[in-house]
Amino acid sequence: MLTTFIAQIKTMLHRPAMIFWALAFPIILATMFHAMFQNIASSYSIEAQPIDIVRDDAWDGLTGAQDLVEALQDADTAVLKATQVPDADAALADLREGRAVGYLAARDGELAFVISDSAATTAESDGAVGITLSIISDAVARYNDTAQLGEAVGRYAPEAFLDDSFTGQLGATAGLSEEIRLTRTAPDEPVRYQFALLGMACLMTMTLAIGAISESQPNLSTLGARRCLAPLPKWRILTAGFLAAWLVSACCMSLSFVVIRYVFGVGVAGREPFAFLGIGVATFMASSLGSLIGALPKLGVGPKVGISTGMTCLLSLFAGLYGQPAMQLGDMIQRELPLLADINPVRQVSQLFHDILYYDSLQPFVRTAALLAVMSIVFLAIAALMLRRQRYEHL
Amino acid sequence: MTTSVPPAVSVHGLVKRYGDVLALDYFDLDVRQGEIFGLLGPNGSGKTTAINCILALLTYDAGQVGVFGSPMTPTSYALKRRIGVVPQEVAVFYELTVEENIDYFCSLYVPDRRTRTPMVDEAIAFVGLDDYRRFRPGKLSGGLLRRLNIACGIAHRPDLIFFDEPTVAVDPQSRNAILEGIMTLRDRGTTVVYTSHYMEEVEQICDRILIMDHGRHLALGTAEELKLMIDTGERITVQTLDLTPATLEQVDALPAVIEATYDGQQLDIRCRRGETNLIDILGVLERSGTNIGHLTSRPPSLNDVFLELTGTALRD
Repeated sequence: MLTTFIAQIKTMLHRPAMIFWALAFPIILATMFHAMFQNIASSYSIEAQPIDIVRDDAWDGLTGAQDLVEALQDADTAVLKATQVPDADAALADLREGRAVGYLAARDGELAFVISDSAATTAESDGAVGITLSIISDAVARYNDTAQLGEAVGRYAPEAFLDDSFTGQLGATAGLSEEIRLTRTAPDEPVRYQFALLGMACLMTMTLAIGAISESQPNLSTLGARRCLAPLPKWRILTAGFLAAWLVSACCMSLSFVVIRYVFGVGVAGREPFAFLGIGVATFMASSLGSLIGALPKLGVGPKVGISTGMTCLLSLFAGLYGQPAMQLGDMIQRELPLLADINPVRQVSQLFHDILYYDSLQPFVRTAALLAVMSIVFLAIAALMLRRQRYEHL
Repeated sequence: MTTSVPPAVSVHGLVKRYGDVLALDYFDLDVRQGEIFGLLGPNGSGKTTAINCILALLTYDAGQVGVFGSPMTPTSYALKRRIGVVPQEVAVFYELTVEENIDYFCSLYVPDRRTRTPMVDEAIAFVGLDDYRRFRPGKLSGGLLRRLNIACGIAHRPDLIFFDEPTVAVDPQSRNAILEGIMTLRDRGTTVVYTSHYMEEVEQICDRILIMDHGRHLALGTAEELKLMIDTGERITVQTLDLTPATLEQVDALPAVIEATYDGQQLDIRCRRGETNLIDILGVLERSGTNIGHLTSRPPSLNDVFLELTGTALRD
């Protein structure tokens, strides 16, 4: 059995087509996703912009203006890099020279935010600049609104300032949205694509098991017949083929994962060992399904590989691999027909990685892994039944 | 007291049906230990079915199959260990080297690596593939591939080997090497069951020959014994350009002549066994004034035996 196992591994590793579909293709696709989403992600990120602060007497007269600048500069996600200038002329000079994209100044008792023409043009085409400038602009507007409100209250109902709850609410941000996080890690669209891709990559490795099982069948090839003449039970040859397919599948998928994780930076929240454990479970399921397809009687290896490829592509659709509409379709099936989503192996394999990344508890991961294990048992049982019933009448 | 040696293969009353098609019709066969046994038959005659039944690759409807005196079943592992098969198609892994292939197929019979290694070396040397150990099959010529196919079937030193048309599509040198190798195996005591469509090969190497058709045993014996079983005793060929239809009729009417044909250049006459066939035919030609260019007479070949027993109608 050991020599069959080793020979089977050598055979698989020397089949360029199989290795391409099981390893190279997912990596190529992952690279394409990475390139695609890298541009999208950078265009929606926040980049601190160089802003001049006109630090004149009027500025010093604005209560809290300097605090606002410091807050915008020192926040977790800084939106500006402040440079103090003595007057508006100096700020305009910086704008002309490109040293700053805008400036903040006190004007008529309010905070004014001025941006250069070139910055306004850039903001239209560069999402990061546009978003950052709009955040600064919103902050300035909010500052002015609060200042005006405070001034009005001071003019018409100054006694309100004696009420602590009023003064507390004056500067509060209760009307604004607050970011909260339900998951362990913030959801990220590219991650969903890459995990769906891992699901597809896993199912692609089915071809290895299909080849191994088909080559052991006497009714499909002379090679299979020759092997069946050997003085050892057929299950040993089949088991060796299955284990070899599983090992090679797990290695291929692990390599795909390593590329996605360490080259493209898609994390699993520091739970890499669980990711590899998940790969072991997932590829066991894929090899089991491959064995089932490989055991189909009266069909050559070519048609069987065709069936597996078609099945993988179709199931990947419901796992959301092909874009936003596919993701919405997958989500709709998950909501309306959860059982159908549960029996989609591609979705379950990608779900394994979502479970690892997003949930604090490992319980969802264990549940998905158990589901995949049950699928494996069912596939193997059907394959064993088919192989057991097969006679050699087709020679 | 003498101990009778069981036949290497014994088949009695074997019946195999594929639906309505009767592939083996109470087929009988006995192969003695240590002989090269030729199994001949046209395409679709049941040769492959018979071999697959013997090897327990196929189930059958009636009859008994024994190998070395024991019943052969799919789980007769002790018997299977003594059997080697060289299929007609090259059945090897194209991703493994010559040495890895032979080692792999040998390992199915001989698990222990230390025992196996000299066997693999011997098989490689036996088929002359020493210089190609590290080659993958895709890099080998047709003849070398056939030799690799043979090495994979014999490396575990079986007592009984089935060769299914091992010389198809190989050049004369490789064919000769393969045939000599098979005779060497026989000389070492191995029993060989050999199927081929090349009659001269079968005649050259087989100790006994069985001709079968329509799933039935037609004739069995040595090549000489088979030749004696047919009507044809002699084939006479006369080169002549002026044979008239009347003379052809006279030749055909001779008692010893089974069949006479003329294609405008050559007169072919198939005769029964007889002492005076040539004299009688020459007499007719001389009397009719036919000019004779060249004349040959030869005894019947195995091909004549085969065609007479199985007919000349085309098969699949």
